Parts: sequence; C-alpha cells; structure tokens
Amino acid sequence: MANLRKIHKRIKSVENTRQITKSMKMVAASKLRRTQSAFGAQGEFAGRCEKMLAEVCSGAQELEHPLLRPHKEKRTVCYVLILGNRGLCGAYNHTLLRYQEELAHSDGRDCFLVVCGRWGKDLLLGTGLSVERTVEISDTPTAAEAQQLAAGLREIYLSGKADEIRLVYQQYKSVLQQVPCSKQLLPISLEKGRGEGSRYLFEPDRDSLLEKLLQMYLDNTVYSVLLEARAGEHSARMTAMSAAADNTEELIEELTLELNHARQSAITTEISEIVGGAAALNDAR
Amino acid sequence: MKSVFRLSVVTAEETVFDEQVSYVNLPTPFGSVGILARHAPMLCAVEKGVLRCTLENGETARVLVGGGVASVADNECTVLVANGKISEE
Repeated sequence: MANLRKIHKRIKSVENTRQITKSMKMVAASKLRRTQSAFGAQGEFAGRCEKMLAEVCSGAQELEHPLLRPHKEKRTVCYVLILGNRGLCGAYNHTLLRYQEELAHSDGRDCFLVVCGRWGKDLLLGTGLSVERTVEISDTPTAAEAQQLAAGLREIYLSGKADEIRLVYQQYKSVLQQVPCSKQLLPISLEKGRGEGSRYLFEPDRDSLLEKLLQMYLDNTVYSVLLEARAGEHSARMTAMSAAADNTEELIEELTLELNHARQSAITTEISEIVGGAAALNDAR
Repeated sequence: MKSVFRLSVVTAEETVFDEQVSYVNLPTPFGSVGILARHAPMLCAVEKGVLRCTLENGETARVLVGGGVASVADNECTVLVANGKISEE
C-alpha cells in the first residue's frame, strides 16, 4: 500500500509540473508574438532610414563624422553581450556564452563586456572576462531602452575607451533555430562616394543631417538587435517548455501503468490471502 | 490633378500617421517649413515640436514629434522621428 501511495503522489507532482511548463510555454508564445510584431514595425523604419542615409552619402567624396572614423590603433574591443533575462530556455544562453569566450580568446586584443540581460552573473564571473557594466533590458524591449543603451555605447566609443564595438547575440533564424553571431556596431561602415550626386536639397546642410541620421541609425540598429535576441530567447523557451510538457505526458503514462501494476498485485495478494484463509478453515472443519 | 500628397510619420516602434494631405508644416531648427504637393526633393532636419497638416477634407491634424529627419520626394513626405504622438486638441 505504501508503494501505491508513493506512485500516486509522484503522478500528482508530475501533473503540476506539466501545468507549469504548459503555462510557461503560453507566456513565451505571447511574448514572442509581441516581439515579432515590434520587429516588423522596426524594419519599416530601418528601410526608410537607410534610404535617407544613402541619399545623404551619395555623391559625397568626403564624409567626416566621429562615428564613421575608425580609430588609428585598434587595441580594445567592447563586446555587447545580449543574454536572456532568465534560464529555462534550453542551450540558448550557454551556447552564446561559450561563443563569446571563444571570440574573446581567438581575437587576442584587450576586451571588455557590456552585458544586457539578467541571466548568469555568476557564470560570467567564472569566465574571467571583465564586465564593464550590466544593462537591464525588459522582455519586450522598447525603443527608449535601445536609445539609452546606444547612447552609452556611443560614449564608450567617442571617449576612446574602446576602438571597436561589437554586438554579440543569437541571430534569429526560425523558432527552432538561433545562431550565435557578432556584428560590428561602431565605427559605422557606410558605402560612400557612390552615385552621381543627389538631386535632393539639404536643409540646413549635409553634415547636420548626417549627424541626425547616424544617431537614428545607431539607435535603430541596437533596437533591432535587441528585438531579434529577445525573439530568439522567447522561442527557445517556448520550444524547451513544449518539450518538457511532452515529457511529462510520457512520464504520467508510465507512472499510471506502474500504478495499475501495483494495484493489481495488491489485489492478487489480498485474494490469495482470502482464498488461503478459507481453505485453512475448511481443512480445520 | 489634385494637389495632395502622402504624409507618413514613422517612429522605430510604429507608424504614427499615414494619410493624404494637402499641406504640411514642419518644425525645424531654423523655423517652420511649409510643404505643398510636388515640392522639390528635399531632406530636412526636424526639431522637437508640433507638426501641423491639412487633410484632404480641409481639417487640420497635429502630430507631436521628437527630433528627426524628413524627406520629401516623388509627392511623398516621410518624417522619421525618435517619438511621435497624434495630438487630440
């Protein structure tokens, strides 16, 4: 009987786990949807911004801007590592962290990190990479958060603390696939001097427009990467949770089978005891 | 040919305004700039302020905008701004 009760208890707890994993999957799915629609809206903005930048750059021989100019010596790299806010999303964070370590070792230059996301503070300490600052980014990032982060990075670059700034994140291929990658943010590389000169009037002048457009371009690049990384995190969590929910179903099936076996054998024992008792009484008569 | 053109105000998060208008008044660092249909192609800096425009039916709409850049070309005016909101007043 003790065994029966134990199995019962076990089934109850697995059922609870199934409930939790299922609801976590739903939450991740709804966050994924929100992030994806924001990513779509951002794409519209990015397209128009790039078109205007191309117009400003076309026909210009010399474009001077501190954000475009590479530093003379490239000694220090700043990696912006965009991790998830939580665990329970499969190998998403671990893969990215390992990628970051390899990147830092193979590059060989001095480097420091700006970390976005709450996950894995202790694990980061263990890697020996120096973390300059940590930035909180919500589960569905807003443009304002991205602007703040971009302003910080711009500062780091212009003050000469870093000669190159790279974004390290999980590129979103599909719900089932995210690939770690790194992308240069600063200095901004633009194709210049292309085209036969613009037919546009520039008000007030080319340089101040370039300044404004680069600012928006920078903000928006950071914003789009944040959204992409978060979309990856949510879909990784969704997949992991849906696998976990499937596993609990299997486990419940197995446990139910075991429970039935135990009950059956308990009944068999009881019957044989009764039969044995009756036979003993008959013999005694 | 009617003298209207398309005005869209876009932020990174959403398209705030997208309609046919006959006149736009943009806040810029060097004062306000008025734009009518078939304006010459122009890129123009936009300051924080109120963008006013006249709709096809003659009504006036106002959009609060943050700093950004406007582009006018091919009878279309696109305003990219850091933030924007349609003013109800």
